Amino acid sequence: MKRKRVPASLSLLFIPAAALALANGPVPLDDEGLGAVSAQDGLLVDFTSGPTGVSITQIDQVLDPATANEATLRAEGLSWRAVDGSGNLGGAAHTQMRLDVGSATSSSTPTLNVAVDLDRSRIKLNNLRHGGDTGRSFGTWALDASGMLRLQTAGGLLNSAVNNTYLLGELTDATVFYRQIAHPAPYLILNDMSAKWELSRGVLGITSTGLRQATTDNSSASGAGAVDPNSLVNLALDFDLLYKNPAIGSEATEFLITGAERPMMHFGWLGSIRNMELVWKPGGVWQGTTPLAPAVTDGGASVGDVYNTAAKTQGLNFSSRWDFVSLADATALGDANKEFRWQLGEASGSGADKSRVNFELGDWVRWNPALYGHNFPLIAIDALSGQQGPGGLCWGFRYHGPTTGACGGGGGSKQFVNIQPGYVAGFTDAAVNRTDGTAKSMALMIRDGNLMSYSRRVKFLERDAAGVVDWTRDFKWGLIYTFANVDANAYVYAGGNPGDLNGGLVVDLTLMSQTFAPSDNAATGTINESLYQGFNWDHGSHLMIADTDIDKDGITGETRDAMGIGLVSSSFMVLANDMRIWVKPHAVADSFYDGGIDLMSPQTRFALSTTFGGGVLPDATGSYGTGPKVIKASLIRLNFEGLLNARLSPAAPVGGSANPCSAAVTGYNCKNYLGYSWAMRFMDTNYSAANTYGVAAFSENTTGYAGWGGSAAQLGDYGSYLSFAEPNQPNVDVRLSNITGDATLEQGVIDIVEHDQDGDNTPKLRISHTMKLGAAAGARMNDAISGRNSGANPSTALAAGGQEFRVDRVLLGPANLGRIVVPSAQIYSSLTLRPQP
Amino acid sequence: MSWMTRSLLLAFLLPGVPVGATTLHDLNDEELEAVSGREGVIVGLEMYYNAQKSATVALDGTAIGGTAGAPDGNCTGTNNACRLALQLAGREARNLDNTKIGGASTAQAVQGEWLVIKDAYFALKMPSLYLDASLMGSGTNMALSSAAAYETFFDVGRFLNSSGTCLLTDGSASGTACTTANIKNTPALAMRHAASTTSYNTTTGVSSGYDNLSLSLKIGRMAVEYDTAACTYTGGASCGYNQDTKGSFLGLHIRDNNAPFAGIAVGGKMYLYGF
Repeated sequence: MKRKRVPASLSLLFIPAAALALANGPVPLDDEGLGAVSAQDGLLVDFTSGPTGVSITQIDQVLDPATANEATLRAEGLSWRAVDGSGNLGGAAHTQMRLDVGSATSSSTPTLNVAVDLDRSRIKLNNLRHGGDTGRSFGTWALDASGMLRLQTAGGLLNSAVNNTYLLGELTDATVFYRQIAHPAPYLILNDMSAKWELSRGVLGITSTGLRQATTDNSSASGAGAVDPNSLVNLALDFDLLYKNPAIGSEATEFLITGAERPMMHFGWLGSIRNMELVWKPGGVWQGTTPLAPAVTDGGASVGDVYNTAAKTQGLNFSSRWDFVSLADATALGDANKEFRWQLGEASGSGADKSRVNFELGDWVRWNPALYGHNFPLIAIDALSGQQGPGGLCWGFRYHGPTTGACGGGGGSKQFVNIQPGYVAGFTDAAVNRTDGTAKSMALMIRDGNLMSYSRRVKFLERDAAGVVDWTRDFKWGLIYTFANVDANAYVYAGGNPGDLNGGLVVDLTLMSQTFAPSDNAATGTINESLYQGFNWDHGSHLMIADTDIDKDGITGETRDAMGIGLVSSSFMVLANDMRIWVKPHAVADSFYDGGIDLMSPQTRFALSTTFGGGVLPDATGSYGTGPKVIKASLIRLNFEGLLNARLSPAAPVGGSANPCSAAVTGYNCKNYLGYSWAMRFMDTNYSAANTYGVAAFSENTTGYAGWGGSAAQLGDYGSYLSFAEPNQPNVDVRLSNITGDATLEQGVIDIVEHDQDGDNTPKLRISHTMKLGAAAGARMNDAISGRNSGANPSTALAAGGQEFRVDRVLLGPANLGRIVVPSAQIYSSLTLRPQP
Repeated sequence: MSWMTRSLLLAFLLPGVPVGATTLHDLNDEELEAVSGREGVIVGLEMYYNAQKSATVALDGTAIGGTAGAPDGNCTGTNNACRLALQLAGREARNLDNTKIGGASTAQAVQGEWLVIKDAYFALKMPSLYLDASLMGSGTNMALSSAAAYETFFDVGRFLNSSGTCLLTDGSASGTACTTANIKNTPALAMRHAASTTSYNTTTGVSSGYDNLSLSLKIGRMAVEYDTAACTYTGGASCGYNQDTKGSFLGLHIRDNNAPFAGIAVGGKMYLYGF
């Protein structure tokens, strides 16, 4: 069948025996409708499909047509039909849309009311493909849900001058399924999902920049003022992440909830945000060849070319910014449910027992003086053809440009890193590899994102077998993570699943969050420190545990009343080339560590530059009071280069032989835990543009260390290392460097323990695993490298698992102290956090 | 005096307050917090290096089980998995004239030397380390007393760098003055262990209360082993750390007479602060 391509539109609609009912005349309005509009005739569209639902063969979206960048995103095999709560398909799909035009009772302004209701049904996408690569598929998705949409707006649809638009979109009792290859391959389930976005009053209109949505308090350039009770976004995204391998139970039908699903974790965003603006704009990836004008200067001199993110090709991008509604805001609003909360923790299984423990991070506040708690000005999405990339990122520097421009020269330390789109390598089956740069991808780019807010309250929520909360406890703690200056390039390719190499996901990831010094130091004229990494308490990436009410008076936000401790003013970078994302089957019933979500990259780098320390958190006005505000205990630098496999696995049943906890061994049981296991091969990769496909300057140093007595250049290559230094003596560090060999984390458990489980009336967070080094790590490493070759050279096989673990240089400053070798070891460790009695 | 003691005292002293007239009720969480006055964290850590974790006291902290000779096997037998090797700088394989093997030197080559710790395992348990945020001079939590008497211990010289600049910082370029007031306002991480009541029964030989730290350690054998000629920088079976030919010159074992873990009681508080 020849298919007609129409940019961004339906290409072919196939509606079998669809019945379309139109009713034109008096309409039964609900209370909301009656209150909002003066009663006039409306329009009711009631749609009921035929008994087998609706199906669409294919939808193509063509980007950059008739150019070298032309790329097509293809949704293939869309269907819509009724479904019950367990995923059993029913008959006709049904939806109803009501349209009414009138005027608000208080004025004569014309008002449009739109109401859409969707009966519970399944919307399924058989395959998402790249149009130029139709043999491969990103996978299959299904959404089971009932939903509704409400829109009430005055002055015409999408009128940006109107600031009293009401918008509600909601999915209830939803289930999302994702599977990479054909049934009965394992799939992931977002179960018991609720999703809601309700703009209580604000702007929804088209402006010169794009489709803008904003609350009415989004006008301050100096941060949020008093909360406007009439202009909030009430939102929810709440689900249990489950895993299921239907092959184990020989389930004949796909996408069913049968009770055989196993819990992984719960995720929930609940509450409200304020001071919000979300703008959808045209334009995807920018060309990494166009410089920005005018030029950026550093120390008085131009830094050279900086990529111009405004020169975009066709695609989609958006900006988002908001503040979270704090506990005090919610109290002022008189509605505790408006406090923004993030719930994490255990998922319940899909069977009768819904008991689980979650913890909830609440009372979020902006890290004053940041303007917004969440501020991501540029997130772009695009379908790419081959090497159509935005250019790389600059590790160590605020602006991104090529080595011949902003990321070259200058006085400070910086490194250009770029994993280009278009290349897939490192699979043993050559059919997956595309080393000529023609691989088609989906791209996600982030620039200058900042998450500068933190939670000041932790609450434990225990649920009984019926899923009802039956025990809670609040603590004025914060588990703080802030991310400053986030930049990322992610390219997602179809294929790579070992069960069917044409299905699955392969990702090239370049991600960094950098903390830059707060200001230029006039004493050093050659560079502007605020463009380079440094210590910055007010605008840094921090990972801390915090006491948010030191004086215990129950009030947060007082001066010098909160302090955090952890890794502060961090800069980190993640590079992963050709990382396979595999929804991996497990082989034996009730034993799950070999299955789950499996990430594997033969060419990975994780760089971290941070300070172990802490400090006083800002008060409600952004002030710190009198006295020192930060503690710096140790500078820590970490550089990992090598192979990484990270796997998250669902929980095994309590009492089962595969459960890592038992009365006999650990003295306690683990229930509904999140399992994890990692395999890491430490290397001195020395990857440079010369020996990899589409990767520029991957390693921190590409010279290569070759033992004692080498050249100065060789001795300057520390490979994979971990270093500690005094904050005021950064050059004298203790450095475990040139680390090579295999290390695995096995039988990993993240478990939240109920308060009455251990007999001490205290809830706990417990993390444990067994680390294996050297020969002991062989079995898990061999499991990890199955199907993969070297990322640097796809025809080179990876060495077998069990490589001895060596630290080839222990350094104190420049002095070499010696070597450490661990031929084999296993180390069980556990960390338990609990509140003081 | 705790909040509760004060409150009770106040209740007895105030005439007309009907003590005990109202029904007793369970304290809710917030009231409980007020009683203890803490919202800090307790950290529990366990680490078993080539040692097994077991709920059976006699096994907990002993060497890992498993098959002798297997990669993750046990800690007995020749060249078993429970090894760790150190090579001090200057003891690498080299020519006698201190040049790297493989170069122009014709001097005799000597093999690298390794200090190999064999049949070794250890386990460490720290069940309850109390962590609190604190200001150094605050009297509200566990911090130092705010009594002025202690302020005489303040020595400004400890907070200056070699050029005499105060190292205390508020994050500004100009820093903060090294004054008593600023030291008292310095944020600190406070750490302590729960108080221990210890005893030792000389008749039964059983101790109790030594549970802030528990340690089990065994180094079965320790020896200097040598690379063989085939050993290269990239390692392998011919290198000294994989040899087991020189027996032992030292062993070490720390345990309790009743169980693999020796108990340690720790008192006092520690404040971590820096600049």
